[in-house]
Amino acid sequence: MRKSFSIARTAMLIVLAFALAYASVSPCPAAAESAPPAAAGQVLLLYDSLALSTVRQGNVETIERLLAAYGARVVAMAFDRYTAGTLKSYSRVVVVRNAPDLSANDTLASELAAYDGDYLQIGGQTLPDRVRARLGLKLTPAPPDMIRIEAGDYGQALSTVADLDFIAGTSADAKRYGTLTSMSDGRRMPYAAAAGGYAYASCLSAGGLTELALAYVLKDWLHAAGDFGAYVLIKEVYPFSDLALLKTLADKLYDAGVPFVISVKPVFYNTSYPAMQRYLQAMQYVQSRNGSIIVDAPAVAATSTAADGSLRGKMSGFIELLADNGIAPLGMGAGLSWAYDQIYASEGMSFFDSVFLGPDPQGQQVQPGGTSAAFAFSPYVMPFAQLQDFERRSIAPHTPLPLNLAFSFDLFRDAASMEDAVDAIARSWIPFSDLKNGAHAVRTDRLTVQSSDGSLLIDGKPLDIDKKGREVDADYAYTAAPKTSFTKLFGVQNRILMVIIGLSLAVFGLFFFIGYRRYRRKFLYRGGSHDAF
Amino acid sequence: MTPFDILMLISVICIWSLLLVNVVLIVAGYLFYLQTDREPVPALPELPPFVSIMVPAHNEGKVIVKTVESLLALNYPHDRYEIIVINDNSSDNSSELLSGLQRRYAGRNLIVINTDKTTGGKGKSNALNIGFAQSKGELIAIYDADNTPEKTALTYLVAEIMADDRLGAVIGKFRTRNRNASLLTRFINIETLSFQWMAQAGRWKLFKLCTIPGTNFIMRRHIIEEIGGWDVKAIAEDTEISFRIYMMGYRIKFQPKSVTWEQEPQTVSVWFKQRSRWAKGNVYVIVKNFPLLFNRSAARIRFDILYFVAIYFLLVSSLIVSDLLLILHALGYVKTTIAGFSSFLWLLAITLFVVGTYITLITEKGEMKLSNLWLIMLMYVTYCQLWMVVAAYGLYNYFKDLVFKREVKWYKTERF
Repeated sequence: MRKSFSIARTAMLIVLAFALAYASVSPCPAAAESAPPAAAGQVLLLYDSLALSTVRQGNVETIERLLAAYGARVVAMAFDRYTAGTLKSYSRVVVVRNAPDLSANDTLASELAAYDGDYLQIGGQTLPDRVRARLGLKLTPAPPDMIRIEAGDYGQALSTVADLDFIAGTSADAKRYGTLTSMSDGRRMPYAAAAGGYAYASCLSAGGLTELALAYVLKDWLHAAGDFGAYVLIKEVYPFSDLALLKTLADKLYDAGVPFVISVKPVFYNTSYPAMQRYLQAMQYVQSRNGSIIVDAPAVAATSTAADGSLRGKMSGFIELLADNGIAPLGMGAGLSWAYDQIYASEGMSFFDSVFLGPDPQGQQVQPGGTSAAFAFSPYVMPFAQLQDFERRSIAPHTPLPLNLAFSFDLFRDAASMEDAVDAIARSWIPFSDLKNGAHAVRTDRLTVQSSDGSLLIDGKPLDIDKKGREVDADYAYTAAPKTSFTKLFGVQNRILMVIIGLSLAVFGLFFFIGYRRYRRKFLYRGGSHDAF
Repeated sequence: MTPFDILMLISVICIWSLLLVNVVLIVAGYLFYLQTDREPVPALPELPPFVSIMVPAHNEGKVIVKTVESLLALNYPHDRYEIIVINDNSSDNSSELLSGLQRRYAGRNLIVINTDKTTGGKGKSNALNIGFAQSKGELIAIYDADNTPEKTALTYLVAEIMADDRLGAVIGKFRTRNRNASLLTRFINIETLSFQWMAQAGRWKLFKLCTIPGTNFIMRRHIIEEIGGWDVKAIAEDTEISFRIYMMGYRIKFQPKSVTWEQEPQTVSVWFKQRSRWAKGNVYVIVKNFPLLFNRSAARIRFDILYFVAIYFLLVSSLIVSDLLLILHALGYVKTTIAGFSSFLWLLAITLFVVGTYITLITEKGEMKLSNLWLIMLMYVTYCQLWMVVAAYGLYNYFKDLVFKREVKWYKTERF
């Protein structure tokens, strides 16, 4: 194992050397491709089932996002797609067991049995002997009733999880994570156990506290170090969002001392229009209220099936437009599927070293790739409503977060829901971090946007975030007026003709009045004259 | 600025100038209408002059009987007028029908001249010259073979011309007998009321000028003798003779109370042939009389010459040029940067057209209907646009005939 580590380290140094050489000749950072992952390297994720229509549905995507939050490049593979010898290429493997009735095929089973790299399994009773032995793992089926889970500062009651196994015993040196408590008999078991590169977690459900519980396990398993922060992330911000409400939100959060991040939808066309100018002004305002800006992934049309090669130009154009308007985007917000798409990753995400990866069940890809892109900074996005489902075990936080967490909100529909959310954020007792306190970089062919220690820099120059934007011209000409000749002559003619026609109409109006009376007198009253026909 | 811009500018100025001229004519025409509506028609002399009514006809069997019978029923003293029907080289049963009429009205002055392809068949002007040779009236009235004049029509014309020695001719009004037959005849009805008679009235009011319309008019015999009869090369013999009367120093007056009802084309193809023939005939007259524009003695009729030149040359060519440039510009073949008028002005102009037409319509009984407003709007986008094609085709045919030296012959309007 030590040999494989040294090979991996040598390979990483070579890659890093190439990456630096590439960066020195290319102004584009291609962060997704060349930036070294924070810690984890490449991880093989094997799963028996996606557990569709069960409480475990979505847990494979959850573990993918959790691994991405630690900078891991993930190759996800179902058991039945496994090809012999694949395991040899990976120093870390995660196995997700959602369906005990589905077993690994003989090839996979034998290779797993012989595998000597780091191993993490979630759920299931079938483990490689070496792992079971190292962990001293004793598993017992959980009673079919409510289970309470506790992890970090939070607790949550889980609904009945089928085929759940408790960890009834571990080796003495195994580290235990969280607790699972049977509500019927009060037994308390560890949620997970880890020792010497091996780990086992009882279960993982998307949208529950198990996400956070597993993050504590992953942090150690992936040897992730450092301080992690919590961020407030506001999503679904468009040019036609309620920008006044967005500004009010910025004011409220600023007054509450909560730094926040706004994920803005990019605009690629008609960027000179007043709506876009107001959008930019709103971003400038947000920035001046201690908000940070990230660029959301553009919406992909349902009919898009092939890349047209324009994404890179569009994204860099939008980044540069923001920078030209005194706005410093520090990263990107995207669904997980973007990280697995070769085109999106290389053309849309390569400008950023910081990407907020959120759930993306409907994600549409144009060129799916086997390996996910990894980023130096990639907070795990969790809806704030999910946090509110957790029970606080103490008012003040005691346990440091195991990963960078972004609590997300969609931009509020009305002031009342915004007030409620700001109030909830303030009462959460979470010390939220300011994104720009970290080192983030966004690079295009033309410029570089960076943040460091609370400062925003564009091409190395500090950005004045209090600078006011230009007034938006309400009389904006949406289509450029073509150059015309005889304009003055036609203007004069226009006025003259209008007067003449106006006068003529007045005369005709008088004639109509006379004609109408005459007509009635001549033809409608008795005794009026008659035509021959 | 491109050469096309200048071309476009000229076209636009021509089009709008003519629009304004027509507005002025409608205003003047309406004032004339108000004036004549109040004034009585002059009385006939104690001994009414003898009048020869000439009816040129070529294969008019379908309508000739009704026309002659209505002429026989005029309230003008029966012994003071004769009817001369020139049945010119007809191949239908006109001759038999007319003989029958002669037998039925044996006591009346009804003369029928039958010609064959040797003696006739060379057009309306030639037929009129043949009839004129046999006429004996001091006044000559002319009606087309498809007309139904009102009983008073001739009396009013005679009374008017006898009341003023300066008048060389007096013209009446013609209306559409079959106006409810089709959409086209409804359009023609509006056209005859608003554009023909209101424009005639306006020209009379302003310049003491009118153009003989080809039917329902009366002239002094000696004038025809002096000008040597009708120009057999002219298709629009009415326009042609009008100019010759002007040149003799006479006036042509419009008397709207003299009314005849005319059968108008009921299909577009027949209408198109008829109107393009008129257009060609008018082009002939304009070209022939164009030198008068520079003739001092023709000062009084300059407006008419200019008016015809403007309508048949300037307006047509301007419309064609501007439309062509618009199409070529849209297709990207021509670049024009010329400014345009405001949409409001266009709206005003269309409103003006609709209102102007409607006020002339309601001078006649039965025409004050809401449906006529819709018809006028529809007419603007259909019938009026077709007029441009008609005029252009007439112009083309004129030059074609000039190049190939084709002779004038009867252009028969198909009857229904």
